[in-house]
Amino acid sequence: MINIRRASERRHMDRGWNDSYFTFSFADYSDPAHMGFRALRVINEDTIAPGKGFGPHAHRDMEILTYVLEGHLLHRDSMGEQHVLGANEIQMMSAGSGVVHSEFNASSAEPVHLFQIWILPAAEDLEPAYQQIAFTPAEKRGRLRLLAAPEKSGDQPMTVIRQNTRIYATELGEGETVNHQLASDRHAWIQVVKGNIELNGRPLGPGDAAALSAESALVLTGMEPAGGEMLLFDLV
Amino acid sequence: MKVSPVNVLVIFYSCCGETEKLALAAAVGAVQARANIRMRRLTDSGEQIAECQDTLARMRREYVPPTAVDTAWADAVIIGQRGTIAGTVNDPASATVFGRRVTSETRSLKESL
Repeated sequence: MINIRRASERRHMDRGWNDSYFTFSFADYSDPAHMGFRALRVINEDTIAPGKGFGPHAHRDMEILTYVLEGHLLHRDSMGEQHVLGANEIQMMSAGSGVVHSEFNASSAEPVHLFQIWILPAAEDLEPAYQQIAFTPAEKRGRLRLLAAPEKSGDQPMTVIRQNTRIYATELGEGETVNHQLASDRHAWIQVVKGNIELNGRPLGPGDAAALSAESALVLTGMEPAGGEMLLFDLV
Repeated sequence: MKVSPVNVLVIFYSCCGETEKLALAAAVGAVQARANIRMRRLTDSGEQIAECQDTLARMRREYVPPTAVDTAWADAVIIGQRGTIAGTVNDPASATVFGRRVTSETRSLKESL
């Protein structure tokens, strides 16, 4: 079963300094039909104006990922972490028992365009943690680049998520294909972050997403005019 | 019955980041106790402090001052101050001055609601 969530169906909120699209209920947007998918709770696409951002605020018991498409984000938190995040990186903040953080556009000239994702952890009150890794564009080109999993594997840098979830990024040129096998007890969420792709023959455009349950084979293909980029969440 | 979380408003005054660190620690403690928090920095009076220009610029950018909406929201308030406050020497009297300032900033806004 494949359920498609079109980009245009998302809640749009333009607060001037931040132009956002909420895939699931968030802030003042509350829709019982769109509360999340499996452990996925929030997917927000944000474009934050130069020099602007989210002032210090708190999180608890949430795995928070940030995937930047363009521009740079300045992160600061109560653990003393301070980092700049750009494209081809992933930031994983495990709020655990409690974190206060701020996220600001690091540039005073260019906007920052990103996806912010919240995933419910498997357990509450865990130790807060911050992870950030970088990869090369080639590592996600035409293949699934593993960004997060419950435990580390292989030689490539990756982040550890406190949930039975595996998160991949891939960028596909026009006509380029990757396959993913979904175990019988698993579900998937495909989030297109850029361009156009086809999922098992169904076209998905920028910001579109698909929820998959009781499917075994995922075939992702880059479509005209210039392929596309997406995040794949393999979920229980 | 599910108990609603307590809303904690952390109001602080900081120019070089030291009191900000304490305010952050207090806020994290409140979050660990399952409270909701808001952090609000009192507006400074345009201080120029050579050794902490960057921190000052960052805090001016990142924080907003408390408003009546915040005080109406809050069940509890944590106040942080240290050293000189906008030129006021840190003695018992300055704490009074600071308290009056917090009260007047928030009350005047509350009355305007």
